[in-house]
Amino acid sequence: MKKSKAIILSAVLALMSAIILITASVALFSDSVTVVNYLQAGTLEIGLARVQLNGRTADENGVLTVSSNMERVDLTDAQTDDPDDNVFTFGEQSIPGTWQEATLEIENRGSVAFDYSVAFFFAETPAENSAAARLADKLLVTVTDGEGNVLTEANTTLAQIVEQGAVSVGSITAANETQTFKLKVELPLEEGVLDDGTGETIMSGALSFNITVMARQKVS
Amino acid sequence: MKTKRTALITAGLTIMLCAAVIVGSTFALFGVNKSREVTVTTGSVNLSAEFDADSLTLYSLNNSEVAQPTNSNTFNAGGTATIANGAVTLKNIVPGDRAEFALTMENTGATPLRYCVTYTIDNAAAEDVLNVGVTGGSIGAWSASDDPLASNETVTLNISVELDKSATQPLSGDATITFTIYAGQANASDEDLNTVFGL
Repeated sequence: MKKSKAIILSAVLALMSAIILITASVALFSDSVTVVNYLQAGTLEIGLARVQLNGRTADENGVLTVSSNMERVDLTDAQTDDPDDNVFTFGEQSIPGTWQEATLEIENRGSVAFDYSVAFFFAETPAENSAAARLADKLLVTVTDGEGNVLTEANTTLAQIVEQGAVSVGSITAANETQTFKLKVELPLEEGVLDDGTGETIMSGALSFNITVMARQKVS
Repeated sequence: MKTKRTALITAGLTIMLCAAVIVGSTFALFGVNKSREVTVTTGSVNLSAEFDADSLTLYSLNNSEVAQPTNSNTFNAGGTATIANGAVTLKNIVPGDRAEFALTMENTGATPLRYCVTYTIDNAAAEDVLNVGVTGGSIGAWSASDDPLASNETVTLNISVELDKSATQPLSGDATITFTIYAGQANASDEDLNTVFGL
């Protein structure tokens, strides 16, 4: 009997020892170290400026005149009432043969690499069969990247590029890096542009559209 | 057992939250737009043209076959010329009879233009024997591209219609000459304008 007690006692002691060992192991394994991570978000900020504006536009007498404007116009902030504070400066007397080509400079003013694109939107969708709608079908738009690659199909009209959506232009990966690209809008001198007497003319028409340069963080 | 279940549920929720954060981050890309509104306004080409009926002067040949003003509203042989609705109508004229009159045009549009004066004759027999001419321009040709008609500017052309002296017979019946004036923007070429107007 004493032997049985001794065995039981020994077993209990062994079990207790095992528990102590396991607890100790668990205590060892569950030890932890806290690492404080520091994360700061980058900023995506762009600058946009018109650095050159070439074109052939009508002067105050309606005579087409070739011009080149090298004055730098910052387009980063909200548009002002200054008529020159714009990508294009078409006057009030645009006639077939008028065109303007703006060279725009985009700058990475933040710390995030980005892809950028340009899109055209109607300020107000022109009414069907209106002079503005016909004008949208006549105005030709060309987008050219900084390396001279034409990114739009030949004879792309304003109406078509609005329908098409944004045109990818390029990527900027380094802070303070700048790139240039060109936008051209032309009212060509071609058959059907002049008043042919049918009344379906683009004369005395007005059409407003937005040009939006969009930058999105580079994902690949 | 209950603790283990709770731990499992908590772990599962944590994984789901992490996944949600990852998915949410994918769509929350940084982006910025810069926009400008551009307006294109087109000009217009408009032309008004009018015959000056008071300027109508009739000439007939005298005995020396020299054209002389008749100083009346008829030709010497009794023929007449009248102006109405952009047309000149000749009646009973004889060889050498000539009518002269002024056509005044004004650019009432906003842009410089070029113009072209054309005419049609409703009497086929008269087409070969009537001479239609203009001083200060050319019939059927566009005005000079280097001298466009400016906005609000006027120009007067003197037009003459004559039954050719060599015609062997008086004009049979009436002949009405209808004039049409075309106008196009000043920088358009002759070819462009002819294409547009089908000239």
